Amino acid sequence: MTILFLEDRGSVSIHITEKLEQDGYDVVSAYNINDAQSAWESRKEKPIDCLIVDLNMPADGLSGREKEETKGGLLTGWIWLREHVFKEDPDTKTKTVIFSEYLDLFRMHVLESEYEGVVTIPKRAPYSPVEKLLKCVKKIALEGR
Amino acid sequence: MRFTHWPFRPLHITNDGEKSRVGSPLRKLTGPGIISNNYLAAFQTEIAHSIDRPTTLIEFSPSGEPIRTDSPLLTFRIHPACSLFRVFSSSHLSSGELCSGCICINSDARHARFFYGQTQAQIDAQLLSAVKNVPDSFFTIYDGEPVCGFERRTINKRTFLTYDCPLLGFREGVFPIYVEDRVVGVLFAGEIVLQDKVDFIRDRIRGSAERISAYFKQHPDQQLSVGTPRDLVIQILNVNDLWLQDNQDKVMSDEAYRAHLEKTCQEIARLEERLEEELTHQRRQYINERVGTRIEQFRKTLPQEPVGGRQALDLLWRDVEKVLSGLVKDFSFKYLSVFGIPKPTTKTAPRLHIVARAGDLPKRFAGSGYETIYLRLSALPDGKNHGSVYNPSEHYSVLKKCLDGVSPDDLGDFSLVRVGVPLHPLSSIAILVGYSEKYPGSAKENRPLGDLDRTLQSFNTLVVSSLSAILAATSEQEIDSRMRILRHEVGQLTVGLDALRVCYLNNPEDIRSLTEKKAGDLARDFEAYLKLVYLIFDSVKYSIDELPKVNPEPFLAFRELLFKWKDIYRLEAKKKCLEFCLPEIDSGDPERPRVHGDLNLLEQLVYNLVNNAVKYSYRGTRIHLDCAIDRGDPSMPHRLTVTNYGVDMPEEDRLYDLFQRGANTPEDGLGIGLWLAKKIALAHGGSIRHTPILISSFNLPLMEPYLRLPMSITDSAIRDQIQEELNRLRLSGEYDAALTPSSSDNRYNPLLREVLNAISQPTYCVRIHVRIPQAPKGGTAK
Repeated sequence: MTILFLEDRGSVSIHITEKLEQDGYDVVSAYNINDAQSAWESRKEKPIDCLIVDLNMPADGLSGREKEETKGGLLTGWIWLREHVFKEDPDTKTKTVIFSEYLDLFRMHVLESEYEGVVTIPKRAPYSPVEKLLKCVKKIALEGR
Repeated sequence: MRFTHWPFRPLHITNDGEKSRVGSPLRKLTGPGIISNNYLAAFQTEIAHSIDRPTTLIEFSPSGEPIRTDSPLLTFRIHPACSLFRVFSSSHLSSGELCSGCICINSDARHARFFYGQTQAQIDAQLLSAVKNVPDSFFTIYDGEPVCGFERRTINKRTFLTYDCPLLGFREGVFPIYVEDRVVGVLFAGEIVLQDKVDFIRDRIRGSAERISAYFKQHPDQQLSVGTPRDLVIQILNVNDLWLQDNQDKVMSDEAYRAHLEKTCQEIARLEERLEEELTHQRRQYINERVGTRIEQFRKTLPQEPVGGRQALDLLWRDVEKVLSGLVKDFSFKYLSVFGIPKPTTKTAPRLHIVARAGDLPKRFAGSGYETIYLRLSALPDGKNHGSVYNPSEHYSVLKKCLDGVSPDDLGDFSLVRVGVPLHPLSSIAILVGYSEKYPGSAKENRPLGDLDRTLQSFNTLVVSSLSAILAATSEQEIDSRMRILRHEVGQLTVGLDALRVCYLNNPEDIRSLTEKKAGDLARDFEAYLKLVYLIFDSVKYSIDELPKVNPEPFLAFRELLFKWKDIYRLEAKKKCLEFCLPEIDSGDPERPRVHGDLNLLEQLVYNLVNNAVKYSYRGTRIHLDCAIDRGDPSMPHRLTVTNYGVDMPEEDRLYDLFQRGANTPEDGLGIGLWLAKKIALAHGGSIRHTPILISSFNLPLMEPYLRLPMSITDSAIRDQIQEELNRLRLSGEYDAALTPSSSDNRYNPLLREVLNAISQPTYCVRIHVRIPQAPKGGTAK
């Protein structure tokens, strides 16, 4: 199973990426929207079975109109998902995990119907967010079989 | 009892009552855990789905029935990293008293003070009265702290109260729980803990509901009856008994987990606590400082008594205008105008000059031309004349009748009318404040006229308090924004720590299988996470408090100050393909003698500069760090330089001001780093500046990759330009200095899309210079 992991912080992504690889997943680690979009556009050659997306990052790679919707970069990951991923393949929603610190802001600005099926995992949580993320990926992998 | 584990992993999951129930297998459990209020799960679930952020906190029984289960422990601390639930003793409840020894923290303490410490009968009366009788407007509780509001609301025909603290920014619902029209308990639900626990809590509540549902499916003979609350509680407790019996293995602790993670958990718990303290401190300090300073500034613009005159008034109005604009913008006023009244004269009708206004005036004032409002002398009450306007005992009633176009009905829109003492420049003023209908405290309350006058002691007070409110609201927004960034910064690190734990330390086998190198890397990463969190905290702390006194000591800059950044930013450097470049380390190097300074503060300084460099560097570039003496300067100070290649950092002094950030900066930042670096440099008797140099009109690390692309997808003019610049940069050595070498493990291999999209971003070499005298004034350097 191939996972596209869009996260610009090494402190967050590197250990998780290593763990996912240890668990047998093929991980495409994207630093920004350009990286992610490249991987997404190549999905015919290399199918993407799961997306893990951070919300807050520089909006480089989005169009001017899209950038305006990112709330200063806080919702960049979502705008990319909405405009480029879900529009092209709505079924991807059930394979997508939003892993972010800004879920409250996200819920404030995005209708629930727009992200129905997408799993959201807050990075700051009373439980272990990484454990939950890994479990979630495992679940997506099982459902994909 | 304190929580020491984070990320939170409960040692037990239990029902409140289980812990102290005789014979319960959980009776011996100690330590943190999830205390589940399952006996009201059926109600909770329904309510939880009616609101955004359900969190069960506490229930008690206004009816006196012991719906709470028993535990001798009174306090479970509500920690931001975990979700805890306090329990009460059933003996307390059955005796009709609420536990008065309950100690709560943070926001919970507010309603704790409100509800606890009173007899149950008092609370019953208070709450039930609140639920049933509160009008649809705010009422407030003032206990010496900022005002918190209760508001009556209805969702799904269920009446409840929301408890809203505007300063601390939390809101929760207070729900009475009814069974057959009897209130059997009150449930607090809301975001008293951080919002991101929502999913977890929702899952837990849902889980409880499912267990209860499963139980009744298995025992169809036992219908969920609502005969008495006690019966209901007993039935639901039976469900939990059953579940606990079948799931002992799931709820017991994992000793291996504890052994390996104790240190991490303790550190993080401390950090979390410190964060909370810092947030509270920051809010108060910042708001006080901002509001205080602005009020002081405003006061200085006010004319001194008894000086008056046009000039003084003009000054005053200028500020008033600002205040009004702010009020209309930030609050729910429809319009707000201030009128000045001229000295009394017998020759002309008294006129009210609009000297400042904001928002839209009521339509009925339109005919007055907006500039002047005439009093309708014909409307004067019998026996009154226009001089009555200046009579403190009569002015309100006179104005009410004589303001052009104003009918008694309009008074619903005017909460305040104030006429001061004639001849005093500050008080010969009338103020009309129009409220929107929704605004609390509107004239719907029919407050007596005398109250209005007593409320407004003077115009000065009104302006100052309005100003305070606006500033406080603005400050709140600003500090919220910064706290969000702070939480984000810290959150990235704590989730990193969590990843470290989950990926490598979750069980002894994982740890044993680590290679020595990997274990070393992980240990360094662990230290780096913690170090960065502390540095972030300290930088925020210093942005409010004074710097500690500089305590200079000699130390070797490279080993102790600079070299560690390779480790601290290992992960970010790897992700961004950055490389740190430092000169060879040699303690005997005469160009790089020991630095004399405060190690902690200089470390903080370097952190802020390196952090800045990491954020604003392009991928695949180098960051150069050096600290040598400047032989070109007669005083030969140490010169610390941090050089990075990336986005521009304009030569503007304002970048060193607190909370200032460069325009178009692509990442979040607190706006503290450079300000603090400057403060630390100055405290050492030194200085700081930076020089941005445009070294290419293209994104340096993408130039070569662009040239390697097929001609068909590139622009020939751009290719020529890039080739030319590349030759120049290679000749000057700048190219190699700026880019991570191809031999590096961190070599950057950009993707096609990145190359095409980002090639036109110009590259700046930004170098920050910090000069520090070899022996600071008053220091102990030898």
